[in-house]
Amino acid sequence: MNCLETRRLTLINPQDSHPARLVHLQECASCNRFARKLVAQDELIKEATKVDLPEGFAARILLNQSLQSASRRPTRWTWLGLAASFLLAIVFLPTLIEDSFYSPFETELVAHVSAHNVFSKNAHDHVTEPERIRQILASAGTEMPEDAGNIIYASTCVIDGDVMAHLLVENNEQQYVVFVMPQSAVAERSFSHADWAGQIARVNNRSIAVLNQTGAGLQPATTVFSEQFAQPLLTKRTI
Amino acid sequence: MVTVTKPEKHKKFENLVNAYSGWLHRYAYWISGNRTIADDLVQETYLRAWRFLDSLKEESAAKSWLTTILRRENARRFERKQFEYSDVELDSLPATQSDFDARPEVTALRIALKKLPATYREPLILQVLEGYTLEDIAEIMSLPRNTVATRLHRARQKLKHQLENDERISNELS
Repeated sequence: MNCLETRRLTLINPQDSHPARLVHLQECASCNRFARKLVAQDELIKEATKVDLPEGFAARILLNQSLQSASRRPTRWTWLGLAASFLLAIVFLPTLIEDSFYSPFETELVAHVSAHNVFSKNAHDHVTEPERIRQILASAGTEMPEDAGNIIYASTCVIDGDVMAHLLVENNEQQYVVFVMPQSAVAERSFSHADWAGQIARVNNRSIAVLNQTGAGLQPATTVFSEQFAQPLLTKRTI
Repeated sequence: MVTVTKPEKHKKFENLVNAYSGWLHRYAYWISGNRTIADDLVQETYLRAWRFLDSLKEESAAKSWLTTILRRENARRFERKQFEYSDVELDSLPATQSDFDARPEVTALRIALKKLPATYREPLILQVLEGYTLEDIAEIMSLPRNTVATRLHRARQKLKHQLENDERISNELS
């Protein structure tokens, strides 16, 4: 391979592993210098093209997707699905009436909490970084509270298409599971289902669900957490 | 018994967001020239990806798939606005950027990259930052392999010439 061809291949890809090019680079000092310059230039390009990711960017994408899904217009299949559901509802009406003491939302929350089983391990295993907690709360449209020291576990979860913050929070030496739901129109109420007791409160156009297994201290804890997670997210741009 | 619906799709989507949103944002910035547009492009890309997530059969193809979607979203922007790629002006990166490399040679290269025509800059970014092969880039950009090779050749040649005019860079690289 001559110098011209070596340099042509090097300009296309300085890391090119063509055997004849590599041999030429070992024999020709000038082409070797040329190739090393381009390799160095590529390394500098990696530095020069760095762009800081906006704060909470991944969480915003997930939130945006969740909001988009929620506001999607019903399609022909949606209507067909609704019609099929209606027929099934008539067929299974007696069973549905029996199960209607618990709304699907409560049972889904409880099913999710049971699946995670966050109380089963040592709470200290679940301590998360403040930055991670902030991102998780941002995904639920909530600002990080000034005092977040009582949050001992946090994750983002998706329940029935809604992104929400799933927290384990301490209050008066008791642990509570807290869900912070952005723009959720869940009515305020108390519930009890499958060994779990819970309370849902509305705060600044969002809903907060607080659950524990004893039902003790739920009311005061819900009041505390409603204040703690009441601050809406201050984003730079509208999603 | 009630179960949580669509968990696998959501998990898959979340993984894609966590794994590739950084790369897509960087790529979007360097092809759109504007941080706000880059944000929007990535958001639109993921919304589209969510709608067609079932068509992604192999996880290993996810990055190229998302990159292609983003590229098409950017092309739609041009169709809507009726202006040419050559009109793109890269805005300045904020000085507050946490890992902003302010070395003179990096700054000079950043300026040189901004001056580079988008048709040359794009394949270079794909190759240098993500190690895409000529074939990968050809597929993403819907171009013949030889065209991609020519553009990469010219991109490096132009950059090299621009940088060699700056004595500091030349010293640094030699």
